[in-house]
Amino acid sequence: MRLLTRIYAIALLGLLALLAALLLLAQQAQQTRQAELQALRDGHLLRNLRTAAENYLATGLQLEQLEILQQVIAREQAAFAGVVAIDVFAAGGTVLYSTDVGNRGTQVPEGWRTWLARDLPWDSAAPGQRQIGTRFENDLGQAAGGIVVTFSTVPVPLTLAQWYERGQQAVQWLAMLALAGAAVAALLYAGLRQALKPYGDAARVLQGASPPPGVATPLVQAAQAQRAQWDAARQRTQQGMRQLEELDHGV
Amino acid sequence: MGYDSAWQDLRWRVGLWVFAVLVGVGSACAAWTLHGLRASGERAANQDVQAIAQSIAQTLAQQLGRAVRLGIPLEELPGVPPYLEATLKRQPVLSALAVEQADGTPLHAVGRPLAPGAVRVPIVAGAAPAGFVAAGTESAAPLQGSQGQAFWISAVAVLGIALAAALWAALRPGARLEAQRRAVLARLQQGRSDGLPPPEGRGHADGLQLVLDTLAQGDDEQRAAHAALQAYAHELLTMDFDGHMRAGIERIVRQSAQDELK
Repeated sequence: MRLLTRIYAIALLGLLALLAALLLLAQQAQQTRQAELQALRDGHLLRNLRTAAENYLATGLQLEQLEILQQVIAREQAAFAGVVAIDVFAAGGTVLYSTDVGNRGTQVPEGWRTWLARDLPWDSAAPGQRQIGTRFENDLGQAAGGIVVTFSTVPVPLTLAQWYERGQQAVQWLAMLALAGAAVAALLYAGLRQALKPYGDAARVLQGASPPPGVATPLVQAAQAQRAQWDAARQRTQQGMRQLEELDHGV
Repeated sequence: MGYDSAWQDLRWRVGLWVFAVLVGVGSACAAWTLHGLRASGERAANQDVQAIAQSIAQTLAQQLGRAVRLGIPLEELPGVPPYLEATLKRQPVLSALAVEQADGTPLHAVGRPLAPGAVRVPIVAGAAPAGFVAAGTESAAPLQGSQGQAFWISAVAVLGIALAAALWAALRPGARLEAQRRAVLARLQQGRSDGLPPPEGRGHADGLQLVLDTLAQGDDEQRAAHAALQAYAHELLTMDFDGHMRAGIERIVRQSAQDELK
Protein backbone atom coordinates (compact mmCIF):
# COMPACT_ATOMS: atom_id res chain seq x y z
CA MET A 1 0.00 0.00 0.00
CA ARG A 2 1.26 3.45 -0.74
CA LEU A 3 1.98 5.92 2.02
CA LEU A 4 -0.94 8.23 1.31
CA THR A 5 -3.33 5.27 1.10
CA ARG A 6 -2.02 4.17 4.46
CA ILE A 7 -2.82 7.58 5.95
CA TYR A 8 -6.37 7.41 4.58
CA ALA A 9 -6.75 3.90 5.98
CA ILE A 10 -5.58 4.99 9.43
CA ALA A 11 -7.94 7.97 9.52
CA LEU A 12 -10.92 5.91 8.35
CA LEU A 13 -10.06 3.21 10.87
CA GLY A 14 -10.02 5.89 13.56
CA LEU A 15 -13.41 7.12 12.40
CA LEU A 16 -14.78 3.59 12.49
CA ALA A 17 -13.48 3.11 16.02
CA LEU A 18 -15.02 6.41 17.03
CA LEU A 19 -18.44 5.52 15.64
CA ALA A 20 -18.26 2.12 17.32
CA ALA A 21 -17.47 3.86 20.61
CA LEU A 22 -20.38 6.25 20.13
CA LEU A 23 -22.74 3.38 19.34
CA LEU A 24 -21.62 1.58 22.47
CA LEU A 25 -22.02 4.77 24.47
CA ALA A 26 -25.53 5.31 23.13
CA GLN A 27 -26.56 1.81 24.15
CA GLN A 28 -24.94 2.18 27.54
CA ALA A 29 -26.67 5.51 28.07
CA GLN A 30 -30.00 3.98 27.16
CA GLN A 31 -29.52 1.33 29.81
CA THR A 32 -28.45 3.89 32.39
CA ARG A 33 -31.50 5.92 31.51
CA GLN A 34 -33.81 2.97 31.97
CA ALA A 35 -32.30 2.38 35.38
CA GLU A 36 -32.69 6.05 36.26
CA LEU A 37 -36.31 6.10 35.16
CA GLN A 38 -36.98 2.93 37.09
CA ALA A 39 -35.46 4.42 40.24
CA LEU A 40 -37.53 7.55 39.73
CA ARG A 41 -40.72 5.54 39.28
CA ASP A 42 -40.01 3.26 42.24
CA GLY A 43 -39.18 6.17 44.49
CA HIS A 44 -42.27 8.07 43.55
CA LEU A 45 -44.65 5.11 43.87
CA LEU A 46 -43.41 4.03 47.27
CA ARG A 47 -43.23 7.55 48.68
CA ASN A 48 -46.62 8.54 47.32
CA LEU A 49 -48.40 5.41 48.53
CA ARG A 50 -46.74 5.55 51.93
CA THR A 51 -47.58 9.23 52.36
CA ALA A 52 -51.17 8.59 51.35
CA ALA A 53 -51.57 5.72 53.79
CA GLU A 54 -49.94 7.62 56.67
CA ASN A 55 -51.98 10.73 55.99
CA TYR A 56 -55.23 8.76 56.13
CA LEU A 57 -54.15 7.01 59.30
CA ALA A 58 -53.31 10.40 60.80
CA THR A 59 -56.90 11.53 60.33
CA GLY A 60 -57.89 8.94 62.90
CA LEU A 61 -59.28 6.28 60.61
CA GLN A 62 -58.44 2.64 61.18
CA LEU A 63 -56.47 0.75 58.58
CA GLU A 64 -59.53 -1.38 57.81
CA GLN A 65 -61.55 1.78 57.03
CA LEU A 66 -59.26 3.12 54.30
CA GLU A 67 -61.35 1.99 51.36
CA ILE A 68 -60.02 5.13 49.60
CA LEU A 69 -56.59 3.47 49.46
CA GLN A 70 -58.10 0.94 47.08
CA GLN A 71 -58.84 3.79 44.64
CA VAL A 72 -55.33 5.17 45.02
CA ILE A 73 -53.61 1.88 44.25
CA ALA A 74 -55.97 1.18 41.35
CA ARG A 75 -55.15 4.59 39.89
CA GLU A 76 -51.40 4.13 40.29
CA GLN A 77 -51.48 0.69 38.74
CA ALA A 78 -53.27 2.05 35.69
CA ALA A 79 -50.97 5.05 35.35
CA PHE A 80 -47.60 3.28 35.40
CA ALA A 81 -46.63 0.78 32.75
CA GLY A 82 -45.40 -2.58 33.96
CA VAL A 83 -47.12 -2.51 37.34
CA VAL A 84 -48.73 -5.93 37.78
CA ALA A 85 -50.16 -5.51 41.23
CA ILE A 86 -50.12 -3.32 44.33
CA ASP A 87 -50.89 -4.84 47.72
CA VAL A 88 -51.43 -3.12 51.05
CA PHE A 89 -51.22 -5.42 54.06
CA ALA A 90 -51.62 -4.95 57.79
CA ALA A 91 -48.80 -5.55 60.24
CA GLY A 92 -50.45 -8.88 61.05
CA GLY A 93 -49.86 -10.09 57.49
CA THR A 94 -53.36 -9.92 56.02
CA VAL A 95 -53.78 -8.27 52.66
CA LEU A 96 -56.30 -5.45 53.14
CA TYR A 97 -56.28 -3.77 49.78
CA SER A 98 -55.05 -5.11 46.49
CA THR A 99 -55.41 -4.33 42.81
CA ASP A 100 -55.94 -8.06 42.49
CA VAL A 101 -59.32 -8.22 44.27
CA GLY A 102 -59.09 -11.95 44.90
CA ASN A 103 -56.00 -11.31 46.98
CA ARG A 104 -57.81 -9.40 49.71
CA GLY A 105 -57.92 -11.19 53.01
CA THR A 106 -55.15 -13.64 52.17
CA GLN A 107 -51.93 -13.94 54.12
CA VAL A 108 -48.77 -12.37 52.70
CA PRO A 109 -45.54 -14.42 52.32
CA GLU A 110 -43.53 -14.58 55.51
CA GLY A 111 -40.72 -12.59 53.89
CA TRP A 112 -42.83 -9.48 53.52
CA ARG A 113 -43.55 -9.33 57.23
CA THR A 114 -39.94 -9.58 58.22
CA TRP A 115 -39.19 -6.56 56.03
CA LEU A 116 -41.56 -4.47 58.16
CA ALA A 117 -38.92 -4.29 60.87
CA ARG A 118 -36.88 -1.96 58.64
CA ASP A 119 -37.78 1.63 57.97
CA LEU A 120 -36.15 1.58 54.53
CA PRO A 121 -37.83 0.52 51.29
CA TRP A 122 -36.84 -2.93 50.06
CA ASP A 123 -36.79 -4.69 46.77
CA SER A 124 -36.51 -8.26 45.61
CA ALA A 125 -36.33 -9.85 42.21
CA ALA A 126 -37.67 -13.18 41.01
CA PRO A 127 -37.72 -14.58 37.46
CA GLY A 128 -40.19 -12.49 35.47
CA GLN A 129 -41.06 -10.10 38.25
CA ARG A 130 -39.61 -7.54 40.61
CA GLN A 131 -41.10 -6.38 43.87
CA ILE A 132 -40.51 -3.21 45.82
CA GLY A 133 -42.02 -2.45 49.17
CA THR A 134 -42.08 -0.14 52.11
CA ARG A 135 -43.72 -0.03 55.46
CA PHE A 136 -45.99 2.72 56.65
CA GLU A 137 -46.32 3.90 60.20
CA ASN A 138 -49.06 4.90 62.55
CA ASP A 139 -48.99 8.00 64.74
CA LEU A 140 -46.80 6.22 67.25
CA GLY A 141 -44.11 5.56 64.69
CA GLN A 142 -44.77 1.84 64.66
CA ALA A 143 -45.17 -0.18 61.50
CA ALA A 144 -48.88 -0.20 60.77
CA GLY A 145 -48.50 -2.26 57.65
CA GLY A 146 -46.71 -2.55 54.34
CA ILE A 147 -47.14 -1.74 50.69
CA VAL A 148 -45.74 -3.98 47.97
CA VAL A 149 -45.65 -3.08 44.28
CA THR A 150 -45.05 -5.92 41.82
CA PHE A 151 -43.58 -5.15 38.39
CA SER A 152 -43.37 -7.49 35.45
CA THR A 153 -39.85 -7.84 34.08
CA VAL A 154 -40.90 -10.03 31.17
CA PRO A 155 -39.77 -8.11 28.09
CA VAL A 156 -42.71 -6.78 26.14
CA PRO A 157 -42.51 -7.70 22.44
CA LEU A 158 -41.63 -4.70 20.31
CA THR A 159 -44.48 -2.99 18.56
CA LEU A 160 -44.40 -2.26 14.86
CA ALA A 161 -43.70 1.40 15.63
CA GLN A 162 -40.72 0.42 17.78
CA TRP A 163 -39.37 -1.83 15.05
CA TYR A 164 -39.79 1.03 12.62
CA GLU A 165 -37.92 3.35 14.97
CA ARG A 166 -35.09 0.84 15.30
CA GLY A 167 -34.84 0.49 11.53
CA GLN A 168 -34.77 4.23 11.21
CA GLN A 169 -31.97 4.45 13.76
CA ALA A 170 -29.94 1.83 11.91
CA VAL A 171 -30.38 3.74 8.65
CA GLN A 172 -29.34 6.95 10.37
CA TRP A 173 -26.20 5.34 11.75
CA LEU A 174 -25.27 3.99 8.33
CA ALA A 175 -25.90 7.37 6.74
CA MET A 176 -23.73 9.01 9.38
CA LEU A 177 -20.97 6.46 8.74
CA ALA A 178 -21.07 7.14 4.99
CA LEU A 179 -21.21 10.91 5.37
CA ALA A 180 -18.47 11.05 7.98
CA GLY A 181 -16.27 8.70 5.94
CA ALA A 182 -16.70 10.86 2.85
CA ALA A 183 -15.97 14.02 4.85
CA VAL A 184 -12.81 12.54 6.37
CA ALA A 185 -11.56 11.32 2.99
CA ALA A 186 -12.28 14.64 1.27
CA LEU A 187 -10.65 16.73 4.01
CA LEU A 188 -7.60 14.47 4.10
CA TYR A 189 -7.30 14.61 0.33
CA ALA A 190 -7.42 18.41 0.37
CA GLY A 191 -4.93 18.68 3.24
CA LEU A 192 -2.42 16.19 1.86
CA ARG A 193 -2.66 17.73 -1.60
CA GLN A 194 -1.89 21.10 -0.09
CA ALA A 195 1.05 19.73 1.90
CA LEU A 196 2.54 17.84 -1.05
CA LYS A 197 1.85 20.39 -3.77
CA PRO A 198 5.39 21.92 -3.78
CA TYR A 199 6.85 18.46 -4.36
CA GLY A 200 4.42 17.70 -7.16
CA ASP A 201 5.40 20.96 -8.83
CA ALA A 202 9.08 20.06 -8.46
CA ALA A 203 8.43 16.61 -9.96
CA ARG A 204 6.77 18.10 -13.02
CA VAL A 205 9.64 20.54 -13.47
CA LEU A 206 12.12 17.67 -13.19
CA GLN A 207 10.20 15.82 -15.91
CA GLY A 208 10.75 18.76 -18.21
CA ALA A 209 7.52 20.71 -17.87
CA SER A 210 7.85 24.45 -17.50
CA PRO A 211 7.18 25.57 -13.92
CA PRO A 212 3.60 26.65 -13.23
CA PRO A 213 3.30 30.44 -13.33
CA GLY A 214 3.84 32.22 -10.06
CA VAL A 215 5.61 29.27 -8.47
CA ALA A 216 9.24 30.12 -7.85
CA THR A 217 9.86 28.28 -4.61
CA PRO A 218 13.44 27.31 -3.77
CA LEU A 219 12.45 23.72 -4.40
CA VAL A 220 11.18 24.45 -7.92
CA GLN A 221 14.29 26.48 -8.61
CA ALA A 222 16.47 23.61 -7.44
CA ALA A 223 14.49 21.25 -9.66
CA GLN A 224 14.99 23.59 -12.60
CA ALA A 225 18.73 23.65 -11.91
CA GLN A 226 18.82 19.85 -11.72
CA ARG A 227 16.93 19.62 -14.99
CA ALA A 228 19.31 22.05 -16.62
CA GLN A 229 22.27 20.05 -15.35
CA TRP A 230 20.84 16.85 -16.83
CA ASP A 231 20.21 18.57 -20.14
CA ALA A 232 23.74 19.97 -20.20
CA ALA A 233 25.23 16.59 -19.33
CA ARG A 234 23.19 14.90 -22.04
CA GLN A 235 24.40 17.46 -24.57
CA ARG A 236 28.01 16.95 -23.53
CA THR A 237 27.66 13.18 -23.78
CA GLN A 238 26.05 13.47 -27.20
CA GLN A 239 28.81 15.80 -28.30
CA GLY A 240 31.43 13.42 -26.98
CA MET A 241 29.76 10.55 -28.86
CA ARG A 242 29.83 12.58 -32.06
CA GLN A 243 33.49 13.41 -31.58
CA LEU A 244 34.36 9.78 -30.91
CA GLU A 245 32.43 8.77 -34.04
CA GLU A 246 34.40 11.32 -36.06
CA LEU A 247 37.64 9.91 -34.66
CA ASP A 248 36.43 6.40 -35.40
CA HIS A 249 35.49 7.16 -38.97
CA GLY A 250 38.58 9.27 -39.46
CA VAL A 251 40.75 6.22 -38.93
CA MET B 1 8.89 29.83 4.83
CA GLY B 2 11.93 27.61 4.34
CA TYR B 3 11.52 24.07 3.24
CA ASP B 4 13.57 22.84 6.13
CA SER B 5 11.62 24.58 8.89
CA ALA B 6 9.91 22.44 11.52
CA TRP B 7 6.52 23.45 10.13
CA GLN B 8 7.37 21.63 6.92
CA ASP B 9 8.12 18.42 8.78
CA LEU B 10 5.61 16.01 7.25
CA ARG B 11 5.25 14.04 10.47
CA TRP B 12 3.85 17.17 12.10
CA ARG B 13 1.69 18.13 9.18
CA VAL B 14 0.22 14.67 8.65
CA GLY B 15 -0.36 14.13 12.37
CA LEU B 16 -1.94 17.53 12.98
CA TRP B 17 -4.16 17.29 9.96
CA VAL B 18 -5.39 13.79 10.78
CA PHE B 19 -6.07 14.97 14.35
CA ALA B 20 -7.95 18.07 13.18
CA VAL B 21 -10.04 16.16 10.65
CA LEU B 22 -10.97 13.42 13.11
CA VAL B 23 -11.77 15.87 15.91
CA GLY B 24 -13.93 17.95 13.57
CA VAL B 25 -15.83 15.12 11.95
CA GLY B 26 -15.92 13.12 15.19
CA SER B 27 -17.37 16.04 17.16
CA ALA B 28 -20.13 16.41 14.60
CA CYS B 29 -20.92 12.70 14.90
CA ALA B 30 -20.84 12.87 18.70
CA ALA B 31 -23.09 15.94 18.75
CA TRP B 32 -25.56 14.17 16.50
CA THR B 33 -25.49 11.06 18.69
CA LEU B 34 -26.03 13.06 21.87
CA HIS B 35 -28.88 14.95 20.28
CA GLY B 36 -30.58 11.71 19.26
CA LEU B 37 -29.97 10.30 22.73
CA ARG B 38 -31.60 13.31 24.35
CA ALA B 39 -34.62 13.19 22.04
CA SER B 40 -35.21 9.48 22.52
CA GLY B 41 -34.63 9.87 26.26
CA GLU B 42 -37.29 12.51 26.55
CA ARG B 43 -39.69 10.32 24.62
CA ALA B 44 -38.95 7.40 26.91
CA ALA B 45 -39.22 9.49 30.07
CA ASN B 46 -42.37 11.24 29.00
CA GLN B 47 -44.79 8.49 29.97
CA ASP B 48 -43.33 8.09 33.44
CA VAL B 49 -43.08 11.82 33.97
CA GLN B 50 -46.71 12.35 32.99
CA ALA B 51 -47.84 9.53 35.25
CA ILE B 52 -45.89 10.95 38.19
CA ALA B 53 -47.29 14.44 37.62
CA GLN B 54 -50.79 13.03 37.35
CA SER B 55 -50.36 11.08 40.54
CA ILE B 56 -48.99 14.04 42.49
CA ALA B 57 -51.73 16.36 41.22
CA GLN B 58 -54.33 13.71 42.05
CA THR B 59 -53.05 13.35 45.61
CA LEU B 60 -53.01 17.13 46.11
CA ALA B 61 -56.51 17.48 44.66
CA GLN B 62 -57.77 14.77 47.01
CA GLN B 63 -56.29 16.49 50.05
CA LEU B 64 -57.61 19.91 49.04
CA GLY B 65 -61.02 18.41 48.16
CA ARG B 66 -61.29 16.95 51.66
CA ALA B 67 -60.65 20.36 53.19
CA VAL B 68 -63.23 21.97 50.93
CA ARG B 69 -65.77 19.31 51.87
CA LEU B 70 -65.11 20.09 55.52
CA GLY B 71 -66.23 23.65 54.74
CA ILE B 72 -62.96 25.57 54.32
CA PRO B 73 -63.02 27.63 51.11
CA LEU B 74 -60.05 26.97 48.87
CA GLU B 75 -58.72 30.52 49.06
CA GLU B 76 -58.74 30.53 52.88
CA LEU B 77 -56.89 27.28 53.27
CA PRO B 78 -53.64 28.06 55.18
CA GLY B 79 -50.17 26.82 54.27
CA VAL B 80 -50.84 25.85 50.68
CA PRO B 81 -47.95 27.71 48.95
CA PRO B 82 -45.22 26.29 51.24
CA TYR B 83 -46.70 22.84 50.76
CA LEU B 84 -46.66 23.24 46.99
CA GLU B 85 -43.10 24.54 47.22
CA ALA B 86 -41.98 21.52 49.24
CA THR B 87 -43.67 19.09 46.85
CA LEU B 88 -42.07 20.76 43.85
CA LYS B 89 -38.64 20.61 45.44
CA ARG B 90 -38.99 16.92 46.25
CA GLN B 91 -39.93 15.88 42.73
CA PRO B 92 -37.46 16.98 40.03
CA VAL B 93 -39.73 15.98 37.15
CA LEU B 94 -42.17 18.76 38.08
CA SER B 95 -41.49 22.22 36.69
CA ALA B 96 -44.57 23.92 38.13
CA LEU B 97 -47.45 23.38 40.54
CA ALA B 98 -50.54 25.56 40.76
CA VAL B 99 -53.91 25.64 42.44
CA GLU B 100 -56.59 27.28 40.34
CA GLN B 101 -60.10 28.36 41.18
CA ALA B 102 -63.09 26.79 39.51
CA ASP B 103 -63.14 29.47 36.82
CA GLY B 104 -59.49 28.84 35.99
CA THR B 105 -57.94 31.90 37.67
CA PRO B 106 -54.72 30.97 39.47
CA LEU B 107 -54.84 31.02 43.25
CA HIS B 108 -51.35 29.81 44.13
CA ALA B 109 -48.55 29.04 41.70
CA VAL B 110 -44.96 27.95 42.30
CA GLY B 111 -42.20 27.11 39.85
CA ARG B 112 -42.06 28.15 36.24
CA PRO B 113 -45.06 29.36 34.22
CA LEU B 114 -47.36 26.51 33.25
CA ALA B 115 -46.93 25.13 29.75
CA PRO B 116 -50.05 24.34 27.69
CA GLY B 117 -49.50 20.60 28.08
CA ALA B 118 -49.70 20.67 31.88
CA VAL B 119 -51.61 18.02 33.80
CA ARG B 120 -54.86 19.38 35.28
CA VAL B 121 -56.88 17.52 37.92
CA PRO B 122 -60.20 18.78 39.36
CA ILE B 123 -60.60 19.28 43.12
CA VAL B 124 -63.82 17.38 43.72
CA ALA B 125 -66.13 18.64 46.46
CA GLY B 126 -69.73 18.01 45.67
CA ALA B 127 -71.15 18.12 42.18
CA ALA B 128 -69.00 20.82 40.58
CA PRO B 129 -65.22 20.98 40.97
CA ALA B 130 -64.10 23.54 43.55
CA GLY B 131 -60.93 24.20 41.57
CA PHE B 132 -58.03 22.54 39.82
CA VAL B 133 -54.53 21.37 40.63
CA ALA B 134 -52.20 21.88 37.69
CA ALA B 135 -48.72 20.33 37.34
CA GLY B 136 -46.16 21.24 34.67
CA THR B 137 -43.58 18.60 33.76
CA GLU B 138 -39.97 18.54 32.74
CA SER B 139 -39.27 15.41 30.68
CA ALA B 140 -35.55 16.06 30.46
CA ALA B 141 -35.13 16.45 34.22
CA PRO B 142 -34.57 12.80 35.12
CA LEU B 143 -31.99 12.51 32.33
CA GLN B 144 -29.59 15.26 33.38
CA GLY B 145 -27.18 12.83 35.00
CA SER B 146 -26.82 10.33 32.18
CA GLN B 147 -26.81 13.07 29.55
CA GLY B 148 -23.92 14.91 31.20
CA GLN B 149 -22.01 11.66 31.61
CA ALA B 150 -22.55 10.77 27.95
CA PHE B 151 -21.23 14.18 26.93
CA TRP B 152 -17.96 13.75 28.82
CA ILE B 153 -17.42 10.17 27.71
CA SER B 154 -17.99 11.05 24.06
CA ALA B 155 -15.65 14.06 24.32
CA VAL B 156 -12.91 11.85 25.78
CA ALA B 157 -13.55 9.21 23.08
CA VAL B 158 -13.31 11.74 20.26
CA LEU B 159 -10.09 13.29 21.57
CA GLY B 160 -8.51 9.97 22.51
CA ILE B 161 -9.21 8.21 19.23
CA ALA B 162 -8.22 11.26 17.17
CA LEU B 163 -4.96 11.50 19.11
CA ALA B 164 -4.20 7.80 18.68
CA ALA B 165 -4.91 7.88 14.94
CA ALA B 166 -2.86 11.08 14.54
CA LEU B 167 0.13 9.58 16.35
CA TRP B 168 -0.10 6.41 14.31
CA ALA B 169 -0.34 8.32 11.04
CA ALA B 170 2.50 10.65 12.03
CA LEU B 171 4.91 8.02 13.33
CA ARG B 172 4.43 5.37 10.63
CA PRO B 173 3.50 6.68 7.13
CA GLY B 174 4.22 10.26 8.21
CA ALA B 175 7.77 9.40 9.22
CA ARG B 176 8.34 7.59 5.89
CA LEU B 177 7.02 10.60 3.99
CA GLU B 178 9.34 12.82 6.00
CA ALA B 179 12.30 10.57 5.15
CA GLN B 180 11.39 10.86 1.47
CA ARG B 181 11.09 14.62 1.80
CA ARG B 182 14.51 14.91 3.45
CA ALA B 183 16.07 12.76 0.74
CA VAL B 184 14.51 14.95 -1.94
CA LEU B 185 15.77 18.11 -0.23
CA ALA B 186 19.24 16.67 0.25
CA ARG B 187 19.37 15.65 -3.37
CA LEU B 188 17.90 18.77 -4.90
CA GLN B 189 19.25 21.51 -2.68
CA GLN B 190 22.62 20.13 -1.66
CA GLY B 191 23.24 17.82 -4.59
CA ARG B 192 23.82 14.78 -2.42
CA SER B 193 22.47 11.68 -4.08
CA ASP B 194 23.32 9.21 -1.36
CA GLY B 195 20.59 7.17 0.21
CA LEU B 196 17.51 7.82 -1.85
CA PRO B 197 14.96 5.72 0.04
CA PRO B 198 13.54 2.73 -1.82
CA PRO B 199 10.14 3.31 -3.44
CA GLU B 200 7.13 2.82 -1.15
CA GLY B 201 4.55 0.37 -2.37
CA ARG B 202 3.16 0.05 -5.82
CA GLY B 203 0.79 2.11 -7.86
CA HIS B 204 0.62 5.53 -9.38
CA ALA B 205 3.25 7.79 -7.81
CA ASP B 206 2.64 11.43 -7.06
CA GLY B 207 4.21 14.14 -4.96
CA LEU B 208 7.33 13.03 -3.18
CA GLN B 209 7.45 9.56 -4.70
CA LEU B 210 7.24 11.10 -8.16
CA VAL B 211 10.16 13.40 -7.39
CA LEU B 212 12.21 10.47 -6.15
CA ASP B 213 11.30 8.32 -9.16
CA THR B 214 12.15 11.11 -11.57
CA LEU B 215 15.45 11.81 -9.83
CA ALA B 216 16.43 8.16 -9.94
CA GLN B 217 15.38 7.87 -13.56
CA GLY B 218 17.31 11.02 -14.57
CA ASP B 219 20.46 9.84 -12.79
CA ASP B 220 20.13 6.41 -14.39
CA GLU B 221 19.78 7.88 -17.86
CA GLN B 222 22.80 10.10 -17.32
CA ARG B 223 24.85 7.22 -15.97
CA ALA B 224 23.83 4.97 -18.86
CA ALA B 225 24.72 7.60 -21.45
CA HIS B 226 28.12 8.08 -19.82
CA ALA B 227 28.68 4.36 -19.63
CA ALA B 228 27.87 4.05 -23.34
CA LEU B 229 30.38 6.81 -24.10
CA GLN B 230 33.05 5.11 -22.02
CA ALA B 231 32.36 1.74 -23.65
CA TYR B 232 32.71 3.33 -27.06
CA ALA B 233 35.93 5.02 -25.99
CA HIS B 234 37.28 1.74 -24.61
CA GLU B 235 36.47 -0.03 -27.87
CA LEU B 236 38.28 2.66 -29.85
CA LEU B 237 41.28 2.42 -27.53
CA THR B 238 41.55 -1.33 -27.98
CA MET B 239 41.66 -0.81 -31.73
CA ASP B 240 44.07 2.08 -31.48
CA PHE B 241 47.22 -0.03 -31.94
CA ASP B 242 49.73 2.76 -32.46
CA GLY B 243 48.22 5.03 -29.72
CA HIS B 244 47.91 8.14 -31.83
CA MET B 245 44.23 8.58 -30.87
CA ARG B 246 44.70 7.99 -27.14
CA ALA B 247 45.16 11.64 -26.20
CA GLY B 248 42.11 12.72 -28.20
CA ILE B 249 39.87 9.99 -26.78
CA GLU B 250 40.88 10.74 -23.22
CA ARG B 251 40.22 14.44 -23.71
CA ILE B 252 36.73 13.78 -25.11
CA VAL B 253 35.84 11.46 -22.22
CA ARG B 254 37.19 13.94 -19.68
CA GLN B 255 35.22 16.82 -21.18
CA SER B 256 31.93 15.01 -21.34
CA ALA B 257 32.32 13.84 -17.75
CA GLN B 258 33.17 17.35 -16.60
CA ASP B 259 30.69 17.69 -13.78
CA GLU B 260 29.10 14.32 -13.99
CA LEU B 261 27.33 13.43 -10.72
CA LYS B 262 28.89 15.95 -8.49
